[in-house]
Amino acid sequence: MSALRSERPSRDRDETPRNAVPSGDGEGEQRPRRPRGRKRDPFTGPNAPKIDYKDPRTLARYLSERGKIMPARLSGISAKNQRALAQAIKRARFLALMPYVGDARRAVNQNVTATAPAAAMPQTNRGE
Amino acid sequence: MPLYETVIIARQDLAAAQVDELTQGLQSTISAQGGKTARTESWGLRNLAYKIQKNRKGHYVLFNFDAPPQAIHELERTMRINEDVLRYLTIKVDAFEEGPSAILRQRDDGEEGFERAGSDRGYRARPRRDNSDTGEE
Repeated sequence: MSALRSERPSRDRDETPRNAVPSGDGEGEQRPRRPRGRKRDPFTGPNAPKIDYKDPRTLARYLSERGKIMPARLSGISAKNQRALAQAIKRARFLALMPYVGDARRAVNQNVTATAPAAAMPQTNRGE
Repeated sequence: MPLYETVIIARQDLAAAQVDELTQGLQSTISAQGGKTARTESWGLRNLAYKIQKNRKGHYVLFNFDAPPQAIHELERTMRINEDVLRYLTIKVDAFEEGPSAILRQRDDGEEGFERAGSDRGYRARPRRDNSDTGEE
């Protein structure tokens, strides 16, 4: 499913994509720094995590340090899942589970430690 | 009737008992409209990622229910009026989840995760440029 995508030589360094020379289809001279081989969509496959707005730790992996959503070309996520992911991230932001701006990973991790654990959660049917 | 999932954030200075009371109040709104609550899950008092109406923390409660669409209308209206509710999010779902949701699970596995560094290192390496020159954001 993830055919012909994500192969384009990464523009890691250079964040001025708009006016970049189109140059055929990515087969050009720019150093292909990234190792070859297609990245796998982390949300496809047998025990892939579900994309869920209630799971900010997973979502936070796909945000930059500034909290921007990572482009699919860097993460290898399929277009369909990328849409679902973006939606989930936006929901999580709305619920203040992750920040709109700033380092989501840090914020999410802090929350885990800062929240007074188990004591504060009654009547959840956890454990099954 | 469609299935819904609602998460609410209640003000930080409510006591746990008050939060329960609030939740029950909302659920009776649902049942008054002909709905049925299937599941309630309390996430406890969590830090908010950003301040909401001067609150840094909030009580999170999730509930799943089955209700006619008009019930959502009424439910959300009630929550909008109630100042103890900082935020609510209602989503239509295809099926209710079983067991505790992801947010509770992560407490257990502690400091795991995030170090799948390779996958996003490139992206992380170039933060500075973000908004300095292109007025993009």
